[in-house]
Amino acid sequence: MRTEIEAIASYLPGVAVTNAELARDYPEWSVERIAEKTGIEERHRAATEECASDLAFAAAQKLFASGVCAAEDVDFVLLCTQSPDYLLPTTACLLQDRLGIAKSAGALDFNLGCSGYVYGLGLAQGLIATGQASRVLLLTGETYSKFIEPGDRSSATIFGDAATATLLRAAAGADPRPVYVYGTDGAGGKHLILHRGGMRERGAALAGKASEENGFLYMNGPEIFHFALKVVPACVRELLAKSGLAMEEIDLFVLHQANRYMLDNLRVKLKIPEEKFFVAMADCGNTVSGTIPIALERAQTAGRLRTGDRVVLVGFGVGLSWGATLLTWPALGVLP
Amino acid sequence: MQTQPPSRERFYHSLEQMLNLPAGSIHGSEDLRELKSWDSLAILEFMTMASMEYDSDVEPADLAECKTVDDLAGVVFRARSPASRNPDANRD
Repeated sequence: MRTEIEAIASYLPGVAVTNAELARDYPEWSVERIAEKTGIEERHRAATEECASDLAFAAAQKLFASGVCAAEDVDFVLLCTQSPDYLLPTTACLLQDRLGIAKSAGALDFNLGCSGYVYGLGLAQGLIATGQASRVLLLTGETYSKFIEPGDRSSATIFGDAATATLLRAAAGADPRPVYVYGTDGAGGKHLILHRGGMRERGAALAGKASEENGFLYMNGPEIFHFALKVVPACVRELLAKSGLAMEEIDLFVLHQANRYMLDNLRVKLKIPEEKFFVAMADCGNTVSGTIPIALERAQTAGRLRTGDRVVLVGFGVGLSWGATLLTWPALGVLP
Repeated sequence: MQTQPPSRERFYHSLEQMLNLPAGSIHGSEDLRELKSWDSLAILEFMTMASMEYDSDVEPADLAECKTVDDLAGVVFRARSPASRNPDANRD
């Protein structure tokens, strides 16, 4: 069964933080340096009372408002988030109800960060290809800003809150061969971590061994940079080998929008011409699992995505986790 | 100090350029904590510079241990691939 991306919508919460505001908070940071190195001019932050479900709800509403389909046509909801409203219940379940999606629909959250969108496409395609679902609503929603410690200028500069909604459907036509590369290295989990919130820290506290770690996001930037520069080029090469395609046959590369500096390095390392490399983060920053669908939505609007284009997507980050896939736009997979 | 191997001088020069410091201002013993522009972004740039100019894949954990500019140089020169290693550069 052919799986196609039918529509993508994104939502950025109302509060935008500019580089000038960051430079005021962190006087040793200059506006020019932030923009030059990170490629980010502003990032959005959810309001105190705004959670991942609120952002995802807004993105999904935008998608439905476009007329592409009605909420009741969706038969599976996947939500990628690491900042769920609650540990339980599952945030996707709350969204099923709030969005008016049928009770016969399946719904689940999956906990991945910057690699999450590729995994979500893989899960959605699996559900559609095996006849378990015909219209999958793949949502991403993150409010990392709530995890960032006051004073952590690196994380405050890079990360932005956002949500996206992607509608995938079973479609008629030639059936492209799915191509995915997945990878995981849990040994690197400590390099991008939020200690508090899960059961391990709660257990330690109860046993009278309160954690010395605080409740904020910890990111070892150099380790993540090192990881990305090692893993992403190898991942792309493996994907191309699996696809039977050469680099030159790819029309567009959409990598996780970590920051401009990392992307520039990856582009040079992979020898990708600038015109085939899509960057979209100046007004939203690194929105974790939202970066790839936001870039796809914008590439489409900008006329950079045409039917039949071969598109490589690569997600990588917290986990450590990575994944890549290839689309023959808008179908998932590669046509023989 | 006058007999610094050329490669080490080149390293200081590259670092000066990267950090926007005046030419000749780095001599090796500088404390990294006192180099104003040595921040999280500079570390990423440094890793790129090590890779591009020295074919050196430095481990972030080794960089985190560095206290001075010469410590950085030691890490970069030790991490060079054998094919690109210049014996002159290997002085610690």
